[in-house]
Amino acid sequence: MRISTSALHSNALTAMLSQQAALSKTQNQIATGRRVQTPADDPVASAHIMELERALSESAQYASNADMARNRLVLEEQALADVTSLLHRVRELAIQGNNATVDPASRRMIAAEVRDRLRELVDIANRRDGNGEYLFSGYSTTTQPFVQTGSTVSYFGDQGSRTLQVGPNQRVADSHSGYDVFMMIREGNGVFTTAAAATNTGSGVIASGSVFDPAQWVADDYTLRFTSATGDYEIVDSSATVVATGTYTSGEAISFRGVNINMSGMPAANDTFSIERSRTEDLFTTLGNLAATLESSTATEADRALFNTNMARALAQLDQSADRISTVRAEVGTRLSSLETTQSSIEDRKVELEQTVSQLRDLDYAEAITRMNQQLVGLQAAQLSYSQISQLSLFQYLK
Amino acid sequence: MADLLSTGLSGLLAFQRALDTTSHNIANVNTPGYSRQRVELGTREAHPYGNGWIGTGVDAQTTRRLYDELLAMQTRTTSSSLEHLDIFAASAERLNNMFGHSTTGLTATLQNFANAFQSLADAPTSTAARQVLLSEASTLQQRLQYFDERLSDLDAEVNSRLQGEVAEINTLTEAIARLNSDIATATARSGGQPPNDLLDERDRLLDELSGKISISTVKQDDGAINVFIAKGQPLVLGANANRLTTVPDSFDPTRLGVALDTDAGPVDLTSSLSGGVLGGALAFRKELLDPAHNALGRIAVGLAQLVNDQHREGIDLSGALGGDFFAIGGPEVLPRDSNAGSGTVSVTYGNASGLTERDYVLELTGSGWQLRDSQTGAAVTMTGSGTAADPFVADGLEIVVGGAANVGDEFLIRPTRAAVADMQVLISDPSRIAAAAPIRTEADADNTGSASISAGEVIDASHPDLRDTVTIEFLTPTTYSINGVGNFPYTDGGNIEVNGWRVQISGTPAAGDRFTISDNSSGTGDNRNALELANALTRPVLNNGTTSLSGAVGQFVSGIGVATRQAQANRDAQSVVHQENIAAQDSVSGVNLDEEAANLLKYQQAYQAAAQLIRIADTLFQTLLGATQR
Repeated sequence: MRISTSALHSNALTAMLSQQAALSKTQNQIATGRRVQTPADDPVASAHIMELERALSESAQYASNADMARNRLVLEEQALADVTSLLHRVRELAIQGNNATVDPASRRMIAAEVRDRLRELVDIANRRDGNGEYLFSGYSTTTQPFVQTGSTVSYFGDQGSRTLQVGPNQRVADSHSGYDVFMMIREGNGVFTTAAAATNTGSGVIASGSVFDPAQWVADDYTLRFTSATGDYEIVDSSATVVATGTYTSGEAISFRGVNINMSGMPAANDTFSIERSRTEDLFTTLGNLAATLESSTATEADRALFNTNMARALAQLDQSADRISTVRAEVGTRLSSLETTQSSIEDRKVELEQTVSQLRDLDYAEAITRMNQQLVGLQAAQLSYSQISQLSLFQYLK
Repeated sequence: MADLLSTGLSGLLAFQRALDTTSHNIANVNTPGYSRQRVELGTREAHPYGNGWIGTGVDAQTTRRLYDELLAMQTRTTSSSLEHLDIFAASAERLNNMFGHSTTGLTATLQNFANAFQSLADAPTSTAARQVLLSEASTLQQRLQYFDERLSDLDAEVNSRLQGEVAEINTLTEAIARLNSDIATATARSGGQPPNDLLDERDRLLDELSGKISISTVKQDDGAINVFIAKGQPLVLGANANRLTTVPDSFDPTRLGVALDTDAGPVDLTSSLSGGVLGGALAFRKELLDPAHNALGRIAVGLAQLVNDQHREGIDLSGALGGDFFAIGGPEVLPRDSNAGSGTVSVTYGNASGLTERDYVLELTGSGWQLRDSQTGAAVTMTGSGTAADPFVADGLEIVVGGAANVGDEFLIRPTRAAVADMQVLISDPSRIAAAAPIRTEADADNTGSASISAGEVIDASHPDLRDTVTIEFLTPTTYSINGVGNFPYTDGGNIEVNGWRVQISGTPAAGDRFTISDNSSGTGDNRNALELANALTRPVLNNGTTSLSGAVGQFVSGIGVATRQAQANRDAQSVVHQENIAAQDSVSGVNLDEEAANLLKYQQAYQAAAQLIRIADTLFQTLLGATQR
């Protein structure tokens, strides 16, 4: 084909310009270390990269959420550990005070310490985290949850428990409400609770009792009334219907509707004891009751009987409380360990995502540098050949 | 001898003409549009003698330019296509670069916004976390608006490009019309000899015109060329050029179209123009820019609806129900300038999941209002009757018509184009962010059963009694009353819906157990709504509930990437075809200096030989004179 002179020049120039453009692109890739610079370079990969980067940013957020949850749970765990050791001490004090050889003055001193511990407990229950939020007030984290007025402690929080998102479909609660931890502790043995009437005159002491056949038990509030000084009794339910009668022998258990009621001493006629289904009692009341019992008089036989009943009740209630606290601590522990698993899987996922992004986006330097060398050689050859060919002209020979 | 002299002279003249033409070729080696010329030599008429026909020399019959009309036409066609694709690809590349950068891109900003909700959920009482959320919200809004403005800039650029190109086209067509008349005059004056350089000039102008717009040409007997565009509209007829003008769109006066000025007024050609820079700019606007603008708007509408709906279901730090979080612009309704009636159309967003990236035209036809796709013209089904109480509903839009429209009146509906421009973050006080749920649930302390109640969720934030205290009391382990009324059967884990909220009670309740649902005004540490807000952003909300916001952003950006790559590939392919055509044309018409050098030698030698003929004729004559002198 005929080639015109201007085409000779412009063809060579076009070829060199396109080689330069390719070289410049390779150079840019090497300088940034990225194969995909804009979506048009590889639309499929770049859509993928965007999604992966979103996922990376999301999992970084999950990691920070998990940290946050961990921090609060660790604080809660510390508070609960403090409550546990406080309860140990209170239990020691209760046992010490329950000893018949202790004189009333010492008992009052023990009671004073119990009251100190109660104040300490209120302090623990009102602890805050680093953000100044109360640990145990449910959703109302800016409301002080526990307020002591006189001998009663009231709860001003709610029953909520905040959850944090630590995975696409995984949430973990970062706290327990104070209601959960301190307020809703089952009374007595968890099924029913026993108490002696303050007006009793006999020496009968009622223990917390136990259930031997849950199938027979009918949840209701019963009253155990002694009809004679020789141990004849009747048990009435809340609608005053007599459900059981019998004769009590000192030291033997009274059984009705699948439960055993252990008693000691001898009640007088018309002494009454309540056997009510378990409701809840808060830990502060338990401690308050213990202190009040320790301060109560043990002058008469009846006083001593009431004292013993109340002490037994307080000890049982302390055990219930310790159980409750350990249950909550176990939950906290489970959450912490599941957070740990979550955090490590977030880390794994992060590494995996980063690798994938890198594979999609980052440059294979060996390949790129080889390519650049090829392109350089190509461009140099084009330049050299152009400079030589363009010198050729017949006019040079026309002299 | 006289013959010899005249034969030699004819050679001298012819070769001089040939040498002139060669030098003209050499001088114009770099002139754009120049076609090499050649002197066509032919023998003169021979004279008969008794002993045969004796030749009488050479004639330079004509000077012809080497030019192939067919190749030229092909080149113009490929040039129109190439310029079309080139401007399209270049504009697409700008879009692509704008949206492509990951750190400044939309996906990252959107995710940061979602993360800020998570951080707020981590510490709902923290003013810092709330402040961060607000600043992420405004970053997102600014980012969207930045992109929206760039798209508007590109739109304005198309307008000014149309104006510029139309002006240049008019200059070109006037010059072509003038050349048509010059060529006719010159041809007549030279007795039918072609005015090569004028022809070259006209062809060059036609080449240039074809780069601006796709043209077809018809050659006339007098040598004039008529130029037609679009569907046969005449741009140049002989010595007359028709002017193109830019005209405002009949719906949207801020947007320009292209029309042909005729005696009967301008004829809008916008939809039928193709090829060249003009066609490429119009195609870019229609195929890439408008859909991109609509897609961006649709993302903003989806975002605002999701966040607003969820935000309204929460309460802020002061216990007040959250209002709207974002404000966005509503659908645009543009009446056609030729509408004769006084009809009005107002459009509002229905469910964002039905929204599309299309524009619509609503027309009052003889059989009532009809909606169609503004680009394809395909009918779109509407339900409803168009009144405020029962609006037309179609593709996520609610349309109310009023006034008295005439049959044939049309309205352009652009659903999401203006959404981003008017976007605002409505919340400026960090404490007004509704991170908490409005209700809380509680189990009574004296409950003896083991049932528990869920935290509860809001299903209708506008219920007037939403936050009233409600007590659910179990009458028996299997039935309950609400606020002391009724006797409802209990299902373990079943939904209980009252006053716009929903709770579940599960486990084994005992008679007398009570659960309370009450106002959560003091729940400053509650993060339930913040979590829901963070989750809402991952919910599939667009494309009839199949695409999440981040998915839509991904599709949007990669869609631009795909379109750009396709445009680049098309351009590159067309460029190869065009280069081949140019090379083919050039191989016919281009000047080769080596060839001209050879011609120079050839004609120079012939000229010298012809000059020798004159000398020999002279010698012969002298010989004859010498012989007869004595």
